[in-house]
Amino acid sequence: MLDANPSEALHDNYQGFMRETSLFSGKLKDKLVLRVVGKGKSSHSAALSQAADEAVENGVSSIVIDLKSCDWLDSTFVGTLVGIALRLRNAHRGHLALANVDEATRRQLEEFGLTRLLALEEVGEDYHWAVSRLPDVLQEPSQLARAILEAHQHLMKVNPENARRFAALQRRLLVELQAALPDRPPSELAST
Amino acid sequence: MIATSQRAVAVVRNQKGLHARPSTLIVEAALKFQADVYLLRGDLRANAKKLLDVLSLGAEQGAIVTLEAAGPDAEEAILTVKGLVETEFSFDS
Repeated sequence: MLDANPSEALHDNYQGFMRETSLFSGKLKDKLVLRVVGKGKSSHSAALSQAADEAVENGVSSIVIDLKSCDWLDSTFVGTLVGIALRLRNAHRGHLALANVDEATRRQLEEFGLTRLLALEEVGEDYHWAVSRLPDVLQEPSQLARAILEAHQHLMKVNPENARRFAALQRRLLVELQAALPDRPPSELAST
Repeated sequence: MIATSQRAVAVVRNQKGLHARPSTLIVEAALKFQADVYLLRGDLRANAKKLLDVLSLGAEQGAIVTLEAAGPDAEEAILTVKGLVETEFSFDS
């Protein structure tokens, strides 16, 4: 795998962000709960996405993301949630809801125009029974760049304002990915 | 124009640190200069003209970042990047 640049030390540093956040899962009948403890950052987007996709493959039709112990979400994490919600909706395989959303995150979701796509549970349910810690998913720099790009492209797809908001970020990531993966056609640099 | 090198220290002010959008602004600004610009945090050295580098620095609110620039417009470049690192952006995501 070609390197999308950061030096090894920088990339190791990025992987180290995983220590700041833990994802816990629990399953009850056809519902999967994923609890975010700490900061919802891009370093955990791959684990989140993988857990959701595997659960749906195994018959889960309802995914709840519990944010009770979450400090905040970065845009990559939010975009990853949007990607999961879109995959579920497009395949008619269930839905995704967010639980215990604080005011700041609620404002963020409104700003991104996501409150119709991402259902918010209004009743503050306790999901502390979801205690299985998800393993970290390590990514190569180019995989990480693609994941960040894809997450933002999901956000751009669902709201024209996001398209403007993240246009520069998309442009930069595409340039860096093309430099790192010169044999890959631009259309394949992100899977959205 | 005479090539110079400059060094400065900046403190990250933004609530969520140098996440996607602030990092993009830094990179876009740095690219406008001929000077090479780097952000240093501890032993880490990020090229300010590469987004994945800046993101990987993981500079959170309160982080102290040393800036280095070398080139004909180093002084202006470092002032511009320092200004962005120390901006508390109105958007928080």
